[in-house]
Amino acid sequence: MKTIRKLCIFIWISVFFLQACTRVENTVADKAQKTRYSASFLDVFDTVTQVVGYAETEEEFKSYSQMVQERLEYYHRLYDIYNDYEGIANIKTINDKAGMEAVKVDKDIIDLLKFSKEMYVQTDGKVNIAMGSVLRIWHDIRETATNSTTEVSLPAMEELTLANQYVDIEKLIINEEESTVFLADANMRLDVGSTAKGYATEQVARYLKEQGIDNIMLSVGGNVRAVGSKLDDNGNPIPWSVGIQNPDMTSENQSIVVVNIEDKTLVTSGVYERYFTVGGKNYHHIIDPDTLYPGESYLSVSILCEDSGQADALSTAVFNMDLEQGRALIESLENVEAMWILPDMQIVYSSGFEKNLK
Amino acid sequence: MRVKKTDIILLSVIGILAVLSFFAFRPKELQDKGKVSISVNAKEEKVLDLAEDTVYVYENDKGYTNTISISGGKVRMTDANCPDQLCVHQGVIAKDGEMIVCLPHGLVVEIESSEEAEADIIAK
Repeated sequence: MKTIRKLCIFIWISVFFLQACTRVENTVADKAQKTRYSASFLDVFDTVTQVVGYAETEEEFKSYSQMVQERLEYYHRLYDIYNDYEGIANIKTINDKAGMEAVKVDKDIIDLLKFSKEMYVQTDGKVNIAMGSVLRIWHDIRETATNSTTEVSLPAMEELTLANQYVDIEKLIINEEESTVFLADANMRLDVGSTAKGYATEQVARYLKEQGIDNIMLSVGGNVRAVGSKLDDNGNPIPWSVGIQNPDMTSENQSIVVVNIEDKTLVTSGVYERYFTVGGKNYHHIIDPDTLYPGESYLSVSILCEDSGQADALSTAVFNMDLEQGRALIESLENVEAMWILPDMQIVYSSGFEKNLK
Repeated sequence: MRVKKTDIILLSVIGILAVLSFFAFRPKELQDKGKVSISVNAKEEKVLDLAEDTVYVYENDKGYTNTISISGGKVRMTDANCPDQLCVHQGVIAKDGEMIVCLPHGLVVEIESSEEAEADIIAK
């Protein structure tokens, strides 16, 4: 009998003790631990931006996400090719003065253009920001298609070939000393759609890091860049989980694979992002500089590396290359990995990609 | 050895207390399934219960409409009169942080739930 009574008292005490423990642990953890917050906004780079991060207070996190939004807005205005902003010479200004005069611009424009030229060389011309005249034809048709109920017709090949005569990147003249840019061909136009978003994301990530901000992740329209790591429930660093969009949008699994990243970037170019339909067929926004038509080799290409600008450019470039050429390029670059999804949903990885899978 | 009646009572009381305290100290978010928050131009428009099957129609003075359906804990945009229709093709969301965005209408549908998504963010 005594044993049972002792046992009862023991259980009684244990239950209360355990509860006391959990409560104490919570208070301690709350003090040391940062809380996870998220925010999203729609007004930059014509897409949705998400910020996920850890901070001690909501105000602190808000100040970070506001910082991200302001910086992105700044780059968005500079790199815009469709709109004018008062008091700002942006890429549209350079285009408007094509063949006429050099335009004095901010160093952040010079830096983007220099970077884009480097990517042109690195990708053997598969990313060409001087292709604006060709891309504009596709852009205008896509705009018309989305805003009307009647079906549009595809661009005539002659029109595309004609526009393709004015895509020589050598005619993009950058004068660093004077901080000016001149397009030495009146018919040439810049379109920085393949580099600007990633480049801006990278600059914002570096800015956050300089400000001493850590454990934060940005997605600018699916262009993902992590600054530092995620934190687990005890505040210990663990990798972020980044899903790669399932090209089958009807699937309940939004991610086709999940990748672990820390201080890295993951950028995907996919056929499902921006497109229009003619005769039951979808025409997406990634235009192959050789065929002047949307590439059909893949459903998406994802790039995992350290620099979001490089990842953005490479995802477009590799999308426009056949598998062998793309693989050769990726394997030749240090700390760059790629994942291809073929039209039959088969997945192909570069040699070092799989070890990053969750 | 005989078990006294009082011992049984004591044991049962401990048992009940243990079970009760388990529920009492469970984090609040685990008690309900989750919320579906709908915002327009970053302003909260409507909050719906993820556990409750419903159809919500958003309409503004410009004639923009979006129809959001919740069924069996899953949310989808079943209809919208936006030009690109990307939101309608975005499929189903069900877990914490997952969102459907209608860019032309500035509308975001986002889930807040204790059921963690397998990914923190999606590259697309």
